[in-house]
Amino acid sequence: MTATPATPQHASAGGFVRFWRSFTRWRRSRPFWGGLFTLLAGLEIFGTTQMSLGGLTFQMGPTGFLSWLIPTILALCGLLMWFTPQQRMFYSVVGAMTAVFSLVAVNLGGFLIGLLLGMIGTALGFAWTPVTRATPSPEPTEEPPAPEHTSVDNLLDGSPDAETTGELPPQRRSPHLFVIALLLLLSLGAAGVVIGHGATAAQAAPCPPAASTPTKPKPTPSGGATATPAPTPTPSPSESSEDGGNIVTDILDGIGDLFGIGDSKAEPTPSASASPSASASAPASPTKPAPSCTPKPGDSNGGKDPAKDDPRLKPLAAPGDIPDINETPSRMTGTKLTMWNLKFEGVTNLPTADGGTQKVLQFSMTKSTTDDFELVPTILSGGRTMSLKSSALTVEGNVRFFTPRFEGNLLGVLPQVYTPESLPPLPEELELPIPVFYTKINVQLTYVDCDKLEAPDLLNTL
Amino acid sequence: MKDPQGGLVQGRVRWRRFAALLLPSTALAGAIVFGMANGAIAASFAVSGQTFKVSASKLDGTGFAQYGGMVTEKATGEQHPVAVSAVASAKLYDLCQSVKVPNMPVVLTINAGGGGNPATASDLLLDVTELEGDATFTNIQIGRDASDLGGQVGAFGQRADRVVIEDLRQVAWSTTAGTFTLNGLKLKVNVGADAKECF
Repeated sequence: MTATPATPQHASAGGFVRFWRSFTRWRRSRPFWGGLFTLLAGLEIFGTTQMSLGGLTFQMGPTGFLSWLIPTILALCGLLMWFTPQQRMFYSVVGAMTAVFSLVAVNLGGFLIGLLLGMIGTALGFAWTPVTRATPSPEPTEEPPAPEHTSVDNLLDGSPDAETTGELPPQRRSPHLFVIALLLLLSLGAAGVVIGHGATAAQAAPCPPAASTPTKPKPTPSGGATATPAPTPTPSPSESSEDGGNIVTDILDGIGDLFGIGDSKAEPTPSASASPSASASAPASPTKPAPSCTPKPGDSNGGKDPAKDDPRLKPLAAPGDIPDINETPSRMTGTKLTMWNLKFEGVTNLPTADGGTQKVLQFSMTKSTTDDFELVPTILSGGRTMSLKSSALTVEGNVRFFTPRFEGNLLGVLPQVYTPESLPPLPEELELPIPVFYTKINVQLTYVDCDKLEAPDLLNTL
Repeated sequence: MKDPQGGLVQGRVRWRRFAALLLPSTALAGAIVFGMANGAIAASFAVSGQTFKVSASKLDGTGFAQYGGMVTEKATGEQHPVAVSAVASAKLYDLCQSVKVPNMPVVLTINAGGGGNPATASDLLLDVTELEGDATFTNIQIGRDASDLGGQVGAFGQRADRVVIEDLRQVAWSTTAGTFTLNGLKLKVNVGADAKECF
């Protein structure tokens, strides 16, 4: 309390000293350290969302909105503690809640550093109280001519430089404040738990294919140089109370956003996985199209053409439960393919996503094994493929198998190539009672589904 | 602050008040940390920008889908093809994730789900460059159009109602999870030239 404006012995000192003295005056007239730590907490938490260790980013917490909102609130609370210290209680409590919430929401509260900074900063801001210097009149006991909003702060607890000796009020006041803070924080905690549970409950629905997340969440929000939250520097007290309202609604928005995320993700896409056992038998008769066949215009056209060419090429209606298939058949190879209860169902047209169809042979079987299996599907446009390998791949239960070209050595000796133009020497609809095997298979695989697939030593590479 | 006369009012910190806010917030933060370590509170999670390794003695998930995608390396802007593997809900036993910090002898590892108490994740999305394990799929569809699952139109996709992968080992570019409960979470920073990764 020495740096009062009227200390003339330093008047001749340099500009820096003058600046430093006025800065000190400024600093002491507001919760400077509280504001600074809270501001740093916001910056640190934001920093962890943008952090990159040689390109490595790590993020915990809902990405996107909250990773901006929480650091912004903290930084804003810190700055507002400086510029409108009258409202410091509000900023401190909001900031403390936000800091604690950041533990769940953003990178474990900036890997705990931001959390600690925020907790300490807001507590410092909360604890800062103006010392009303009982100006010239040294009347220690009665001194509350201060405005109402500081009257709370005038309850000093026996500080050395305080001229008052109001010992009792602070002792009553502190527990009171403690209770308020505790209630606020507990309610926050309850909200956090509700959010956690709500999210898990919303996402625990058993039916959802992971496919129900059509948009892949970008792990890192695209940051930029404009990242640092830059709040308006000097809001007037009336403005700041409005800001406070916005902060609260922002928090609510954030919570709502959380729920919203949970809801949208839990939404199951209507998957075509109706019980395959029931539907597998539906397309068994080649003459009767399954009623649920997808009515694509190209489907009927393409379906009728082969029938004119060859009586054996009766168009089999595509099974109605088959989803749109990928455009480029995957290449499947193996040293030996064994099939149990193999049945050639006929030629069918499977729909693709662009509205076209692919003419393929349809087989069904109860089980098949492929030794030294490899599947090379085209996973991206431009012919980019990946590889799926297994030492002995087994598919079982209502296996349906669609291929435009099947090549292999029947029983290890007879080279065979089956296409929709060169059909396998199997009567349609006849189920082979004995297992049949092919060696050195090279199959263009369009689509397979089955009840169970086992892939020991699966190796998926790109 | 200014007093009614316009002079600056100076202030000080009162430590009892400091404790009045700090203690409850510390208690609450401690409770949250405790809850997270015990799997009561779910956090969401994302790592990206660098390949890292994930291993688990067993992954048991529902709602599996896989299709192709690209990731962009943040530092260099390089693009890498990946197999996007999505699991709507997964239990991960003896989960280990390790990240080697580039150009430094530092390995960060995260362990969770040990002792028969699996870590659980929902909306798990992995950008995989390599995946190994003994896999069993239920009600699988191979060769779907990827656009139904989240990928490109016309590209290969597959999905299954359930997936179980034993001795899972994978190398991924990014992983995200909507919610992640990390039972028995252990974060470790291993320093040294021989700092160990998960595998």
